[in-house]
Amino acid sequence: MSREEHDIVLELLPAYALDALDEEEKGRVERHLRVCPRCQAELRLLKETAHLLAYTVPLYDPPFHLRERIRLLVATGRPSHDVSPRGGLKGVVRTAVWARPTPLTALVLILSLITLGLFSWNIHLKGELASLRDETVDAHELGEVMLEYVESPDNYELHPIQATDASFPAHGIILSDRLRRRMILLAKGLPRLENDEAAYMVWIQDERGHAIPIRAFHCDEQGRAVLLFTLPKEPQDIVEIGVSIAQGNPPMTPVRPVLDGKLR
Amino acid sequence: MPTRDVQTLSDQELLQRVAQGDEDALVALYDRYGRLVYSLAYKILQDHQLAEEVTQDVFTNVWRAAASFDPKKSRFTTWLTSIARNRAIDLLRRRRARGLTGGRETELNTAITRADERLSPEHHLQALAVREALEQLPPAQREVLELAYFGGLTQREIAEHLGIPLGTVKTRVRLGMLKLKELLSPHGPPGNGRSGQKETNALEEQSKVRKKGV
Ligand SMILES: [Zn+2]
Repeated sequence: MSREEHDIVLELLPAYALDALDEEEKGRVERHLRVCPRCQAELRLLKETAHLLAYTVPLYDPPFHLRERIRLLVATGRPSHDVSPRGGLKGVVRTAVWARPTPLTALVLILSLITLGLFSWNIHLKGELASLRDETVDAHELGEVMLEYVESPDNYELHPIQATDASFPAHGIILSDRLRRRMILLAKGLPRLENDEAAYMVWIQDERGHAIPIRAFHCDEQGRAVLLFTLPKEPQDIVEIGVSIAQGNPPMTPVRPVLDGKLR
Repeated sequence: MPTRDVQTLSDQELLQRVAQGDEDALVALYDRYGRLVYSLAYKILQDHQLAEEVTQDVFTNVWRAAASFDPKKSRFTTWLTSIARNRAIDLLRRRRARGLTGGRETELNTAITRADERLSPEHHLQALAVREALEQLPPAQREVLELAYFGGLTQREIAEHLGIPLGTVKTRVRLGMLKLKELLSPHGPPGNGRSGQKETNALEEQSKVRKKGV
C-alpha cells in the first residue's frame, strides 16, 4: 500500500463512515481498507460516532403488536415448535364454508368499497383505547396503492373475505400487492364491539398453520374500515386471513371471529 | 438452562442467547432497543408503516445474524443502529427513485405516542451526550452530517441540495465527523497512537482559523 493512498483514504473515511461517498470513492476506500489495519481501526471509531446520531431522534413507541409479531416470526422460523395461539388461525377465526363469489360480485364489491374508501380513508377513527395508535389511515399511501392497482392490476390479487357468522352482514375484500409485502383490507358491516371488547384484530395464517397478529383497528359508526398494512411474510406464504374481535390492553386476546378469507 | 431473568443480562449475553435460538432474549433486546430502531426508521422515512417494516426486518435480521456478530469488531448498538439506518435509507432511496417523498410528519405526530419521557437512564445519558456534542459543532457542519445520516444524501447530493461547492461539503463532513468523534470519545482511539490524534488536532486548528476568517 502506498503512503499517499493511505492519506487520501484517511481523508475520505469520515464521509465513508456516514455513507456519503459516491460509488467510485467508496470502491477506492474499500480496496484500501482490505489491506490497512490502521484505516480499519479508524473506521470503526468513525462508524461508532456516526451511528450515535441515531440517539438524537425524537422517540416514538412502535405499535404494540410488533413485539408479539416479531416473537412469532422468529419462533415460526424454526420447525417442530408450535407457538401459535391456540394452534393456528382456527383458534381465532372460525373457518366458515362459503361459496366463492364470482369475479363480477367481487368487482361490484370492490367498486362499492373503493367509493366508500374514498370517503372514509382519511377519517381518523376514534378509539376508546389510548394505546391503540394505528388508527390514522394514511391517505397518501392508500391513494398511491389504489392508483398503482388501477394502472397495473396484474401486480395485485383480489380476495373476498366473508363473515364467519350469518348473524351480521360483514363482508370485505383484500387487495394484495404481489411485489411488496402489503395489503389493503376494506370491510363493512362489522359487528359492534361489546363492553369488554377492545378492538378488531387482523390475523394471518402461514403455510405451517401459525397465526400471526398483524394489527388492531377500529371501525367507523357504520361498521366500515379501510386498512393498509405491512405483512411480516411474503404474500405467497400467507394461506388465510381473518379478523377477530379482541380483548385486553393491548388487545391481543381474541374473543370471537368476524371475517375470514382464504388466500390460497 | 439457568433461569436468570433476561432483563438483567447484558446486551452481549442476550445476543449469545439469541444465537442459540432463545426468543425471550430477542424480545428482551427488542424491549431495550425496539423504540430506538423504530424511531430512527421513522425519522428517516416519515412513515409509520415503513418504520414498522424496517423494525421487523432489523430484529429478524438480528435473530439470523446473531451468531456472526463479533463484539471485537463493533459495539452491539452500533451494529444494530447501522442495520436499521441502512435498511431505512435503502427504502428511502428506492422511494425517491420512484418519485415518492415523505413529509407526513405533522399528520402523524398526533397519532403517535411521544416516548421521550420514558427513556432508560443509559439511553437518556447517551442521547444527552450526543446532543451536547452536536451543539458544539458549527451549525453548517451539523447540517451536512444530518443530511447524510438521516437524509441518505451523498456529499455531491448535499452540495446540490444546499447550492454550495462540493469541496465545502467535503470539508464540513470531515471536520464535523472528526470533531464529533473527539467529543464523544475523550480518550481518543485506543492503540491508534498519536498520529490520528495529531491529524484531528491539525484539522481543528484549520477549522478555528477558518471560523475566525468568516
Ligand atoms: Zn490506511
